[in-house]
Amino acid sequence: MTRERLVEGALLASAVATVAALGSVIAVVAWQGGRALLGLGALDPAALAGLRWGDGDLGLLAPLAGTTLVTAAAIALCLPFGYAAAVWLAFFARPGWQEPVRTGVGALAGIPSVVFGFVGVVWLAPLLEEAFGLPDGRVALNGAVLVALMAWPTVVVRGEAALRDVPAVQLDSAIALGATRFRGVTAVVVPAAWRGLAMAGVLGLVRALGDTMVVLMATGVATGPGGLLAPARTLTETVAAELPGADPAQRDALFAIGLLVLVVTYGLHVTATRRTGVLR
Amino acid sequence: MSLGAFAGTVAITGIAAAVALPAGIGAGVWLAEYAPEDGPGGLVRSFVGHMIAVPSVVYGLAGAALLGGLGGTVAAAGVTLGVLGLPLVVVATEQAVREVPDAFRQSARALGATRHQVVTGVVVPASGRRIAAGALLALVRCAGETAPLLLLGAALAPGDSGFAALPTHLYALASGPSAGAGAGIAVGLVLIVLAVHVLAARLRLAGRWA
Repeated sequence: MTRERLVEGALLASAVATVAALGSVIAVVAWQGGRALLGLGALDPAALAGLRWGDGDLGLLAPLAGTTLVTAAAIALCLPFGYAAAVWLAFFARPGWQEPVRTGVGALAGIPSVVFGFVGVVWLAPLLEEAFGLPDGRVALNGAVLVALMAWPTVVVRGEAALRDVPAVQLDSAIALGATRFRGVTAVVVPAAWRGLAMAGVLGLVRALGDTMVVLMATGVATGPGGLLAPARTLTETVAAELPGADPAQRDALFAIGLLVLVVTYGLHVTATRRTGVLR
Repeated sequence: MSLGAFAGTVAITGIAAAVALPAGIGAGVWLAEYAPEDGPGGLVRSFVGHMIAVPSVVYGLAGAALLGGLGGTVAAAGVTLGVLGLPLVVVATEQAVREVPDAFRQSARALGATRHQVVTGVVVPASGRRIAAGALLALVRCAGETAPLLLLGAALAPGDSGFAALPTHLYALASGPSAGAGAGIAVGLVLIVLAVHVLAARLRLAGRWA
């Protein structure tokens, strides 16, 4: 009986330690970030614009606009290709191709973001300079293309899972009624899986929002957003660039930015997984 | 500098493994075998699952605040990345353990094994390859993380104080005048990721039950 207790106790202790470690991440960011936000008095746009974190003290709204611009462009680029690849993998890929392609897509998701950032600096930037006659190719579009590539595997994997959740009898019935396989997939299966597909898109968005290195390296240095062909500054990038060397008040302001990123990504993930009931 | 950066990444990943693997595998097994479906088990499961979505820069902020005393050391970086990898290990472990067919548990119980003997003697060995695959993927993710290291005082130029690591070295090279000099490290990182993903895929396939 004692050994029974020992095993269960050790496993329970691991779970408690895990929750404590992850909980402390949330607690400390909420504490320090909350301190900065409460210090502002009111949480209106004017006060948020006054959040001071160094480098011109641009407030919260400029990096928020930059994040919105880069993320929206990235998702617009990513979703069509992501859904198309998911449909192909689920219904049209030859059986022998599926496993290697899945491993490849998974590996693309595993490539460190600093490598994508490097590609943006040495390859995509000169390409954009030539195409658009820019003095420097490190602009919002550069980051958006690479972030789209980083979010793409998430949309493919989750999208394929959503499509596979649709009972096979629906496609079979459509085909039995005379539909082609393509027509059956696009007219029956895809609409039936729309909720799961939307959640796949949200999970891709979460991935895009969290990226730091691509936007730090490939979108240049900016004070505020100026369109897709201008440099952009995002929330995550601001934290990574400004924290080393920040004074205590500026540190708290950067934690407030981190808190915003934490709340938004966690919240989106809760919504995306609650509706579909899957956590992976 | 590259050699020092490689050593730094190996040390950081090693510390991250020491943090993430025991607690993560233990918590994953607990969630799969002991935790009640709802109540505390369900809460832990969803909390840990959602923490996967939290960006690495947030983990870096927490590390910088809590491990400030170790600022600029491999230890602070390793512990922070270990916590970042923790939810990945937990979720992969729980899934691997749940995939073990119930017939294994029932057969072991029928032969007289106690509950902990079923877990330590049957279920964990049976899911070992899939747990290892998940652990490998979590660790290679930790090895490539860059943003938390910037917040924890990575050295970016020769002569800087602080630790060196491959991803931050690549970042420093790409930000410098001769960005192309980072190509070797970039290709190396991609090859490491590909190799680990292929290895993990083979492990998963070898550990498949259905």
